[in-house]
Amino acid sequence: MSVPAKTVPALKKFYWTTEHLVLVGIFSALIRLSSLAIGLVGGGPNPISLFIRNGLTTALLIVLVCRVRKFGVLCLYCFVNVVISFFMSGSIMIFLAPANLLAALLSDLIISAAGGYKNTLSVLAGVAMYDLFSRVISLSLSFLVMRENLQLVAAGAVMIILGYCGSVLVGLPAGYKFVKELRHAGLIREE
Amino acid sequence: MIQKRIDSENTKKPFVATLDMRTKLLISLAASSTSIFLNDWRLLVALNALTFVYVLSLRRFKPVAVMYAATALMLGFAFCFIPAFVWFVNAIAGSVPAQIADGFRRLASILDEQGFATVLLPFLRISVSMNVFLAFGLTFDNQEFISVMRKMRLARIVFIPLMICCRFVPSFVDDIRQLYESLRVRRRKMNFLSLVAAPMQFLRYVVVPVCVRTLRIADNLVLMCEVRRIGCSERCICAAEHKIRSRDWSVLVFTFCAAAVIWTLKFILPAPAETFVH
Repeated sequence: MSVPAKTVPALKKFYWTTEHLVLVGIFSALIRLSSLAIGLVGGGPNPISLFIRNGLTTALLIVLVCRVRKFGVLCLYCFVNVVISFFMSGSIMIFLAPANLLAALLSDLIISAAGGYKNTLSVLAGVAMYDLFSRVISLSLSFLVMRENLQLVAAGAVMIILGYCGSVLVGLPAGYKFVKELRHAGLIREE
Repeated sequence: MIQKRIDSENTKKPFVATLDMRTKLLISLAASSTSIFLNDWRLLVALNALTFVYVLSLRRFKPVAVMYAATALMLGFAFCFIPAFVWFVNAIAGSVPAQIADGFRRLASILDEQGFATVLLPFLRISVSMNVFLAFGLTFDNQEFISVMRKMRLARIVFIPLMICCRFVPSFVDDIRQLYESLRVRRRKMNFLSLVAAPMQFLRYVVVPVCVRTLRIADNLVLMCEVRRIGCSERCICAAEHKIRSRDWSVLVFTFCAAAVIWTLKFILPAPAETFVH
Protein backbone atom coordinates (compact mmCIF):
# COMPACT_ATOMS: atom_id res chain seq x y z
CA MET A 1 0.00 0.00 0.00
CA SER A 2 1.55 3.24 -1.07
CA VAL A 3 1.74 6.18 1.36
CA PRO A 4 0.50 9.42 -0.19
CA ALA A 5 3.36 11.88 -0.56
CA LYS A 6 3.21 14.98 1.65
CA THR A 7 2.73 18.06 -0.41
CA VAL A 8 3.93 21.49 0.57
CA PRO A 9 0.88 23.70 1.15
CA ALA A 10 0.42 26.39 -1.47
CA LEU A 11 1.60 29.88 -0.56
CA LYS A 12 -1.13 32.22 0.57
CA LYS A 13 -1.77 35.19 -1.67
CA PHE A 14 -1.44 38.56 0.01
CA TYR A 15 -2.00 42.07 -1.34
CA TRP A 16 1.52 42.93 -0.17
CA THR A 17 3.79 40.14 -1.38
CA THR A 18 7.06 39.29 0.33
CA GLU A 19 8.91 41.13 -2.45
CA HIS A 20 7.03 44.36 -1.74
CA LEU A 21 7.62 44.10 1.99
CA VAL A 22 11.32 43.37 1.50
CA LEU A 23 11.66 46.34 -0.85
CA VAL A 24 9.89 48.69 1.54
CA GLY A 25 12.03 47.46 4.44
CA ILE A 26 15.29 47.73 2.56
CA PHE A 27 14.53 51.20 1.20
CA SER A 28 13.44 52.43 4.63
CA ALA A 29 16.81 51.30 5.97
CA LEU A 30 18.69 52.70 2.97
CA ILE A 31 17.02 56.10 3.26
CA ARG A 32 17.77 56.32 6.97
CA LEU A 33 21.36 55.12 6.61
CA SER A 34 22.17 57.33 3.63
CA SER A 35 20.75 60.35 5.48
CA LEU A 36 22.96 59.48 8.41
CA ALA A 37 25.99 58.94 6.17
CA ILE A 38 25.55 62.30 4.40
CA GLY A 39 25.02 63.96 7.79
CA LEU A 40 28.32 62.48 8.98
CA VAL A 41 30.23 63.26 5.77
CA GLY A 42 28.72 66.77 5.75
CA GLY A 43 29.96 67.38 9.27
CA GLY A 44 26.64 67.95 11.01
CA PRO A 45 23.55 70.03 10.34
CA ASN A 46 24.61 72.55 7.71
CA PRO A 47 22.48 73.90 4.85
CA ILE A 48 24.43 72.17 2.06
CA SER A 49 24.32 68.66 3.54
CA LEU A 50 20.67 69.24 4.46
CA PHE A 51 19.91 70.18 0.87
CA ILE A 52 21.70 67.13 -0.55
CA ARG A 53 20.35 64.74 2.08
CA ASN A 54 16.73 65.65 1.41
CA GLY A 55 17.31 65.43 -2.32
CA LEU A 56 18.73 61.95 -2.01
CA THR A 57 15.91 60.82 0.28
CA THR A 58 13.30 61.98 -2.24
CA ALA A 59 15.14 60.36 -5.15
CA LEU A 60 15.29 57.01 -3.33
CA LEU A 61 11.62 57.26 -2.40
CA ILE A 62 10.74 57.79 -6.07
CA VAL A 63 12.75 54.67 -6.98
CA LEU A 64 10.86 52.69 -4.31
CA VAL A 65 7.43 53.83 -5.53
CA CYS A 66 8.32 53.13 -9.16
CA ARG A 67 9.63 49.69 -8.26
CA VAL A 68 6.67 48.55 -6.12
CA ARG A 69 3.94 50.29 -8.17
CA LYS A 70 0.98 49.41 -6.01
CA PHE A 71 -1.67 51.61 -4.41
CA GLY A 72 -0.78 52.27 -0.78
CA VAL A 73 2.99 51.97 -1.13
CA LEU A 74 3.55 55.37 0.48
CA CYS A 75 1.19 54.40 3.31
CA LEU A 76 3.15 51.19 3.85
CA TYR A 77 6.47 53.05 3.74
CA CYS A 78 5.15 55.61 6.21
CA PHE A 79 3.77 52.89 8.49
CA VAL A 80 7.07 50.98 8.44
CA ASN A 81 8.97 54.20 9.19
CA VAL A 82 6.74 54.99 12.14
CA VAL A 83 7.13 51.45 13.49
CA ILE A 84 10.92 51.61 13.01
CA SER A 85 11.07 54.95 14.82
CA PHE A 86 9.04 53.49 17.64
CA PHE A 87 11.07 50.30 17.93
CA MET A 88 14.42 52.02 17.59
CA SER A 89 13.83 54.81 20.02
CA GLY A 90 10.37 54.43 21.53
CA SER A 91 10.00 57.98 20.35
CA ILE A 92 7.12 60.38 20.52
CA MET A 93 6.85 60.19 16.72
CA ILE A 94 4.29 57.43 17.28
CA PHE A 95 1.74 60.16 18.13
CA LEU A 96 2.16 61.58 14.63
CA ALA A 97 1.38 58.24 13.00
CA PRO A 98 -2.28 58.98 12.16
CA ALA A 99 -1.46 62.35 10.60
CA ASN A 100 1.49 60.91 8.68
CA LEU A 101 -0.58 57.99 7.41
CA LEU A 102 -3.28 60.40 6.27
CA ALA A 103 -0.65 62.43 4.40
CA ALA A 104 0.67 59.26 2.76
CA LEU A 105 -2.84 58.17 1.80
CA LEU A 106 -3.53 61.57 0.22
CA SER A 107 -0.28 61.32 -1.73
CA ASP A 108 -1.21 57.82 -2.91
CA LEU A 109 -4.56 59.15 -4.07
CA ILE A 110 -2.80 61.98 -5.90
CA ILE A 111 -0.59 59.47 -7.72
CA SER A 112 -3.61 57.35 -8.66
CA ALA A 113 -5.59 60.37 -9.84
CA ALA A 114 -2.68 61.89 -11.76
CA GLY A 115 -2.05 58.90 -13.98
CA GLY A 116 -1.19 55.87 -11.89
CA TYR A 117 2.02 54.29 -10.66
CA LYS A 118 3.32 53.48 -14.15
CA ASN A 119 3.53 57.16 -14.99
CA THR A 120 6.77 58.57 -13.55
CA LEU A 121 5.51 62.16 -13.57
CA SER A 122 2.49 61.32 -11.42
CA VAL A 123 4.82 59.49 -9.00
CA LEU A 124 6.96 62.65 -8.85
CA ALA A 125 3.86 64.74 -8.04
CA GLY A 126 2.74 62.30 -5.33
CA VAL A 127 6.17 62.11 -3.69
CA ALA A 128 6.50 65.92 -3.77
CA MET A 129 3.13 66.24 -2.02
CA TYR A 130 4.08 63.55 0.51
CA ASP A 131 7.30 65.43 1.31
CA LEU A 132 5.33 68.65 1.76
CA PHE A 133 2.68 67.08 4.01
CA SER A 134 5.20 65.22 6.16
CA ARG A 135 7.26 68.38 6.65
CA VAL A 136 4.23 70.37 7.73
CA ILE A 137 3.46 67.63 10.26
CA SER A 138 7.08 67.62 11.51
CA LEU A 139 6.92 71.38 11.94
CA SER A 140 3.75 71.04 14.00
CA LEU A 141 5.57 68.52 16.25
CA SER A 142 8.50 70.93 16.70
CA PHE A 143 6.00 73.62 17.65
CA LEU A 144 4.53 71.25 20.25
CA VAL A 145 7.94 70.41 21.72
CA MET A 146 9.39 73.93 21.65
CA ARG A 147 6.22 75.97 22.09
CA GLU A 148 7.80 78.23 24.73
CA ASN A 149 10.35 79.57 22.32
CA LEU A 150 9.31 80.55 18.81
CA GLN A 151 12.94 81.25 17.90
CA LEU A 152 13.71 77.56 17.91
CA VAL A 153 10.55 76.78 15.92
CA ALA A 154 11.49 79.46 13.38
CA ALA A 155 15.00 78.03 13.07
CA GLY A 156 13.47 74.59 12.56
CA ALA A 157 11.07 76.01 9.96
CA VAL A 158 13.97 77.49 7.98
CA MET A 159 15.75 74.13 8.03
CA ILE A 160 12.58 72.35 6.92
CA ILE A 161 11.94 74.81 4.08
CA LEU A 162 15.56 74.43 2.96
CA GLY A 163 15.16 70.65 3.10
CA TYR A 164 12.01 70.82 0.99
CA CYS A 165 13.81 72.99 -1.57
CA GLY A 166 16.45 70.24 -1.73
CA SER A 167 13.73 67.64 -2.26
CA VAL A 168 12.09 69.59 -5.08
CA LEU A 169 15.16 71.01 -6.81
CA VAL A 170 17.53 68.04 -6.43
CA GLY A 171 15.43 65.03 -5.45
CA LEU A 172 12.74 65.12 -8.12
CA PRO A 173 15.06 65.50 -11.14
CA ALA A 174 17.52 62.97 -9.68
CA GLY A 175 14.68 60.53 -8.97
CA TYR A 176 13.38 60.89 -12.54
CA LYS A 177 16.88 60.21 -13.89
CA PHE A 178 17.40 57.23 -11.54
CA VAL A 179 14.13 55.63 -12.59
CA LYS A 180 14.98 56.10 -16.26
CA GLU A 181 18.43 54.54 -15.85
CA LEU A 182 17.28 51.70 -13.60
CA ARG A 183 14.46 50.90 -16.02
CA HIS A 184 17.03 50.81 -18.80
CA ALA A 185 19.20 48.48 -16.69
CA GLY A 186 16.24 46.18 -16.05
CA LEU A 187 16.23 46.76 -12.30
CA ILE A 188 12.82 48.42 -12.45
CA ARG A 189 10.79 45.96 -14.44
CA GLU A 190 7.94 46.83 -16.79
CA GLU A 191 5.08 44.40 -16.10
CA MET B 1 20.83 25.44 28.74
CA ILE B 2 20.78 28.46 26.48
CA GLN B 3 18.81 30.38 29.10
CA LYS B 4 21.45 29.55 31.75
CA ARG B 5 24.20 30.79 29.48
CA ILE B 6 22.29 34.01 28.83
CA ASP B 7 21.78 34.44 32.58
CA SER B 8 25.48 33.93 33.34
CA GLU B 9 26.41 36.46 30.65
CA ASN B 10 23.85 38.91 32.00
CA THR B 11 25.46 38.99 35.44
CA LYS B 12 28.54 40.72 33.97
CA LYS B 13 26.52 43.44 32.24
CA PRO B 14 25.20 46.68 33.78
CA PHE B 15 21.66 46.38 35.12
CA VAL B 16 20.01 48.33 32.30
CA ALA B 17 21.71 46.15 29.67
CA THR B 18 20.13 43.02 31.17
CA LEU B 19 16.60 44.38 30.82
CA ASP B 20 14.32 43.02 28.14
CA MET B 21 14.00 45.10 24.98
CA ARG B 22 10.25 45.49 25.49
CA THR B 23 10.86 46.96 28.95
CA LYS B 24 13.28 49.52 27.53
CA LEU B 25 10.79 50.40 24.80
CA LEU B 26 8.03 50.98 27.33
CA ILE B 27 10.33 53.12 29.46
CA SER B 28 11.27 55.20 26.40
CA LEU B 29 7.65 55.66 25.41
CA ALA B 30 6.57 56.58 28.94
CA ALA B 31 9.41 59.08 29.45
CA SER B 32 9.17 60.81 26.08
CA SER B 33 5.36 61.00 26.10
CA THR B 34 5.35 62.40 29.65
CA SER B 35 8.00 65.00 28.84
CA ILE B 36 6.07 66.41 25.87
CA PHE B 37 3.07 67.36 28.04
CA LEU B 38 5.06 68.93 30.89
CA ASN B 39 5.38 72.71 31.14
CA ASP B 40 6.93 72.96 34.59
CA TRP B 41 10.73 73.12 34.61
CA ARG B 42 10.89 71.53 38.10
CA LEU B 43 9.09 68.39 36.93
CA LEU B 44 11.16 68.26 33.77
CA VAL B 45 14.34 68.51 35.85
CA ALA B 46 13.10 65.63 38.03
CA LEU B 47 12.32 63.53 34.96
CA ASN B 48 15.71 64.40 33.53
CA ALA B 49 17.44 63.33 36.72
CA LEU B 50 15.66 59.95 36.61
CA THR B 51 16.47 59.31 32.96
CA PHE B 52 20.03 60.58 33.44
CA VAL B 53 20.62 58.03 36.18
CA TYR B 54 19.06 55.41 33.90
CA VAL B 55 21.49 56.14 31.04
CA LEU B 56 24.55 56.69 33.24
CA SER B 57 24.05 53.30 34.89
CA LEU B 58 25.40 51.87 31.61
CA ARG B 59 28.76 53.50 32.47
CA ARG B 60 29.18 54.73 28.87
CA PHE B 61 30.07 58.33 29.63
CA LYS B 62 31.64 59.36 26.32
CA PRO B 63 28.58 58.95 24.03
CA VAL B 64 26.41 60.68 26.61
CA ALA B 65 28.80 63.63 26.79
CA VAL B 66 29.01 63.82 22.98
CA MET B 67 25.21 63.80 22.59
CA TYR B 68 24.75 66.52 25.21
CA ALA B 69 27.45 68.65 23.59
CA ALA B 70 25.84 68.21 20.15
CA THR B 71 22.40 69.18 21.48
CA ALA B 72 23.78 72.24 23.24
CA LEU B 73 25.58 73.22 20.03
CA MET B 74 22.41 72.87 17.97
CA LEU B 75 20.43 75.00 20.41
CA GLY B 76 23.26 77.54 20.33
CA PHE B 77 23.02 77.68 16.53
CA ALA B 78 19.27 78.12 16.79
CA PHE B 79 19.82 81.15 19.03
CA CYS B 80 22.26 82.64 16.59
CA PHE B 81 19.50 82.40 13.99
CA ILE B 82 17.58 85.46 15.26
CA PRO B 83 20.47 88.00 15.11
CA ALA B 84 21.35 86.58 11.69
CA PHE B 85 17.70 86.90 10.58
CA VAL B 86 17.50 90.53 11.80
CA TRP B 87 20.74 91.35 9.99
CA PHE B 88 19.43 89.66 6.84
CA VAL B 89 16.15 91.62 7.01
CA ASN B 90 18.03 94.90 7.39
CA ALA B 91 20.36 93.97 4.54
CA ILE B 92 17.59 93.18 2.06
CA ALA B 93 15.11 95.83 3.27
CA GLY B 94 16.09 98.22 0.48
CA SER B 95 15.76 95.69 -2.32
CA VAL B 96 12.33 94.20 -1.50
CA PRO B 97 8.89 95.89 -1.45
CA ALA B 98 8.25 97.88 1.73
CA GLN B 99 5.27 95.70 2.83
CA ILE B 100 7.34 92.50 2.71
CA ALA B 101 10.21 94.17 4.58
CA ASP B 102 7.74 95.39 7.26
CA GLY B 103 6.35 91.86 7.62
CA PHE B 104 9.87 90.46 8.06
CA ARG B 105 10.71 93.16 10.61
CA ARG B 106 7.53 92.41 12.58
CA LEU B 107 8.34 88.70 12.63
CA ALA B 108 11.90 89.44 13.75
CA SER B 109 10.66 91.69 16.58
CA ILE B 110 8.14 89.05 17.77
CA LEU B 111 10.92 86.45 17.85
CA ASP B 112 13.30 88.84 19.55
CA GLU B 113 10.84 89.63 22.38
CA GLN B 114 11.01 86.06 23.67
CA GLY B 115 13.47 85.61 26.51
CA PHE B 116 16.62 83.56 26.09
CA ALA B 117 15.75 81.60 29.22
CA THR B 118 12.87 79.93 27.38
CA VAL B 119 15.40 77.62 25.78
CA LEU B 120 15.46 75.73 29.07
CA LEU B 121 12.13 73.90 28.62
CA PRO B 122 12.75 72.65 25.06
CA PHE B 123 16.26 71.56 26.07
CA LEU B 124 14.91 69.65 29.07
CA ARG B 125 12.27 67.96 26.89
CA ILE B 126 14.81 66.97 24.25
CA SER B 127 17.28 65.67 26.83
CA VAL B 128 14.67 63.33 28.37
CA SER B 129 14.07 61.70 24.97
CA MET B 130 17.80 61.68 24.33
CA ASN B 131 18.59 59.89 27.60
CA VAL B 132 16.13 57.06 27.02
CA PHE B 133 17.11 56.79 23.37
CA LEU B 134 20.79 56.52 24.31
CA ALA B 135 20.08 53.81 26.86
CA PHE B 136 18.13 51.87 24.23
CA GLY B 137 20.64 52.46 21.44
CA LEU B 138 23.74 51.62 23.48
CA THR B 139 22.29 48.26 24.53
CA PHE B 140 20.72 47.40 21.15
CA ASP B 141 21.37 43.86 19.93
CA ASN B 142 20.30 42.94 16.41
CA GLN B 143 19.65 39.25 17.07
CA GLU B 144 17.75 39.93 20.28
CA PHE B 145 15.62 42.46 18.43
CA ILE B 146 14.60 39.92 15.78
CA SER B 147 13.91 37.25 18.42
CA VAL B 148 11.79 39.65 20.43
CA MET B 149 9.84 40.63 17.33
CA ARG B 150 9.12 36.98 16.63
CA LYS B 151 8.03 36.54 20.21
CA MET B 152 5.66 39.48 19.88
CA ARG B 153 3.85 37.72 16.98
CA LEU B 154 3.73 40.85 14.89
CA ALA B 155 1.85 40.97 11.59
CA ARG B 156 3.92 40.09 8.53
CA ILE B 157 3.71 43.64 7.15
CA VAL B 158 5.49 44.82 10.30
CA PHE B 159 7.80 41.88 10.90
CA ILE B 160 9.31 41.44 7.41
CA PRO B 161 10.32 45.10 6.80
CA LEU B 162 11.74 45.39 10.32
CA MET B 163 13.71 42.15 10.00
CA ILE B 164 15.01 43.25 6.59
CA CYS B 165 16.05 46.62 8.04
CA CYS B 166 18.12 44.88 10.70
CA ARG B 167 19.64 42.41 8.23
CA PHE B 168 20.44 45.13 5.68
CA VAL B 169 22.56 47.33 7.97
CA PRO B 170 25.72 45.12 7.95
CA SER B 171 25.48 44.69 4.14
CA PHE B 172 25.15 48.44 3.69
CA VAL B 173 28.17 49.13 5.90
CA ASP B 174 30.15 46.54 3.93
CA ASP B 175 29.09 48.14 0.62
CA ILE B 176 30.15 51.58 1.79
CA ARG B 177 33.52 50.18 2.86
CA GLN B 178 34.02 48.59 -0.57
CA LEU B 179 33.01 51.82 -2.30
CA TYR B 180 35.46 53.74 -0.14
CA GLU B 181 38.23 51.30 -1.09
CA SER B 182 37.39 51.54 -4.80
CA LEU B 183 37.46 55.33 -4.61
CA ARG B 184 40.83 55.18 -2.88
CA VAL B 185 42.16 53.01 -5.70
CA ARG B 186 41.03 55.71 -8.14
CA ARG B 187 42.69 58.32 -5.91
CA ARG B 188 39.39 59.99 -5.15
CA LYS B 189 38.10 60.95 -1.75
CA MET B 190 34.67 60.58 -0.20
CA ASN B 191 34.30 63.66 1.97
CA PHE B 192 32.25 66.82 2.24
CA LEU B 193 34.49 68.80 -0.11
CA SER B 194 34.21 66.23 -2.90
CA LEU B 195 30.46 66.08 -2.32
CA VAL B 196 30.10 69.86 -2.75
CA ALA B 197 32.77 70.35 -5.43
CA ALA B 198 31.64 67.53 -7.73
CA PRO B 199 28.11 66.41 -6.83
CA MET B 200 27.60 64.61 -10.17
CA GLN B 201 30.72 62.53 -9.60
CA PHE B 202 29.52 61.75 -6.09
CA LEU B 203 26.22 60.66 -7.59
CA ARG B 204 27.93 58.46 -10.18
CA TYR B 205 30.58 56.91 -7.91
CA VAL B 206 28.64 56.51 -4.68
CA VAL B 207 24.87 56.93 -4.94
CA VAL B 208 24.16 54.96 -8.14
CA PRO B 209 26.29 51.92 -7.10
CA VAL B 210 24.60 51.90 -3.68
CA CYS B 211 21.16 52.08 -5.29
CA VAL B 212 21.88 49.28 -7.79
CA ARG B 213 23.47 47.13 -5.12
CA THR B 214 20.46 47.66 -2.84
CA LEU B 215 18.05 46.49 -5.53
CA ARG B 216 20.19 43.36 -6.05
CA ILE B 217 20.30 42.70 -2.29
CA ALA B 218 16.51 43.12 -2.23
CA ASP B 219 16.16 40.42 -4.92
CA ASN B 220 18.40 38.06 -2.91
CA LEU B 221 16.49 38.73 0.30
CA VAL B 222 13.17 38.05 -1.44
CA LEU B 223 14.53 34.68 -2.56
CA MET B 224 15.82 33.98 0.95
CA CYS B 225 12.43 34.79 2.48
CA GLU B 226 10.54 32.65 -0.01
CA VAL B 227 12.90 29.68 0.39
CA ARG B 228 12.55 29.84 4.18
CA ARG B 229 8.82 30.52 3.84
CA ILE B 230 9.11 33.63 5.97
CA GLY B 231 5.94 35.70 5.83
CA CYS B 232 3.64 32.80 4.91
CA SER B 233 1.77 33.13 8.23
CA GLU B 234 3.73 30.25 9.73
CA ARG B 235 5.04 30.34 13.26
CA CYS B 236 8.74 30.96 13.76
CA ILE B 237 10.48 29.21 16.66
CA CYS B 238 13.11 31.12 18.61
CA ALA B 239 16.27 29.40 19.89
CA ALA B 240 16.51 31.71 22.90
CA GLU B 241 13.48 32.67 24.89
CA HIS B 242 13.17 36.28 25.90
CA LYS B 243 10.93 36.36 28.93
CA ILE B 244 9.96 39.38 30.94
CA ARG B 245 11.54 38.60 34.31
CA SER B 246 11.17 39.94 37.81
CA ARG B 247 13.76 42.69 37.25
CA ASP B 248 11.78 43.90 34.22
CA TRP B 249 8.54 43.88 36.20
CA SER B 250 10.14 45.83 39.07
CA VAL B 251 11.55 48.44 36.67
CA LEU B 252 8.19 48.72 34.90
CA VAL B 253 6.35 49.19 38.21
CA PHE B 254 8.90 51.86 39.23
CA THR B 255 8.45 53.62 35.85
CA PHE B 256 4.69 53.54 36.19
CA CYS B 257 4.85 54.94 39.75
CA ALA B 258 7.30 57.69 38.73
CA ALA B 259 5.09 58.67 35.78
CA ALA B 260 2.01 58.69 38.02
CA VAL B 261 3.75 60.91 40.60
CA ILE B 262 4.94 63.33 37.93
CA TRP B 263 1.49 63.55 36.34
CA THR B 264 -0.10 64.11 39.76
CA LEU B 265 2.43 66.83 40.60
CA LYS B 266 1.74 68.50 37.25
CA PHE B 267 -1.83 69.21 38.41
CA ILE B 268 -1.06 69.83 42.12
CA LEU B 269 2.03 72.06 42.00
CA PRO B 270 1.50 75.82 41.64
CA ALA B 271 2.81 77.40 38.44
CA PRO B 272 6.55 78.20 38.49
CA ALA B 273 7.72 81.77 38.97
CA GLU B 274 7.43 83.71 35.71
CA THR B 275 10.75 85.43 36.31
CA PHE B 276 12.60 82.19 35.80
CA VAL B 277 11.00 81.43 32.48
CA HIS B 278 11.16 84.91 30.99
